[in-house]
Amino acid sequence: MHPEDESESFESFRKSFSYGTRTDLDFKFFKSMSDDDVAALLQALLADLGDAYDTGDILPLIQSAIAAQAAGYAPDPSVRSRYEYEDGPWNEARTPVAQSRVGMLTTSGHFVAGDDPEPFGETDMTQEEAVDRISEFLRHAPAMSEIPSSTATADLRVRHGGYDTRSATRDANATFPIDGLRTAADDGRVGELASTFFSFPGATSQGRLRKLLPEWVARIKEEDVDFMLLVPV
Amino acid sequence: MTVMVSAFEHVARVMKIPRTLTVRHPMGRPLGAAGDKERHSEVLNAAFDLLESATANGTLVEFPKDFRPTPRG
Repeated sequence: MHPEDESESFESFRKSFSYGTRTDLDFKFFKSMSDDDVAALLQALLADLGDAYDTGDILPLIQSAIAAQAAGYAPDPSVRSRYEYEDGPWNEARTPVAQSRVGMLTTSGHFVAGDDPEPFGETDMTQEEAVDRISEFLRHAPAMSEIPSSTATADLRVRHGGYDTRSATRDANATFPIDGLRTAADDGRVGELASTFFSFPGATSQGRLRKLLPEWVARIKEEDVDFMLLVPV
Repeated sequence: MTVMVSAFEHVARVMKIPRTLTVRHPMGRPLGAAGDKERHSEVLNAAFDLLESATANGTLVEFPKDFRPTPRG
């Protein structure tokens, strides 16, 4: 809470959702929006809420928030991204999906209970602690967790200081669709699953991540998949 | 080969990701709401379809449905 003897600017209020006094990772994008745009969003959300008293329909609320998210994360067109490339790693499909061996890599921060990657040597770091220590994560190399594709969903854990993990905690499949992939294999939609899936928390030092990539790629290639499902979060 | 599921189209565009299924979902729920097994499967199947339909690098397809809360019952 803001001290009562100090007035808070709307800018300060807006920025407080991004690792500030009102941290809410679902709305941390307020930080990059203008005061006017955030004010307009809040006004729209409140209007949708007022309608929902009668209609019970919260979808307009959700859609307003998602539209604002897209605007909030839209890049500044005058700034060239350092991740802009001239071409991409295109490979033609050689095997029908129904005959393919499928792997998965997510940046959701999932791991198997009992196999905590223990960031910074810390045991049992909570999600709240990960959020509080986001600046440390952004300076360190990530650890890639290996998750057998046979892992019971109840044995999955998630921790990531960069996004709201409530949905992923309630149901890993919101960001790590292991059940859906198993169903796809059982139904013959895909041929088979890789023995091991992979996940790491994407809020990390990108420079240190790049140095790990050869080792990670070599490990992923051992799964001998036909295609990888990538889920960045 | 890869196929990516993402809520952020601009990232896929600038990075020249081979195949991307974009979703109109909140951050942190690219496959859908917690417990929405039907939506998770729909998104996965759309990603699988994209694997077979894409013919050039940088193919982006938007998943056609809006996000919905976890179904009740």
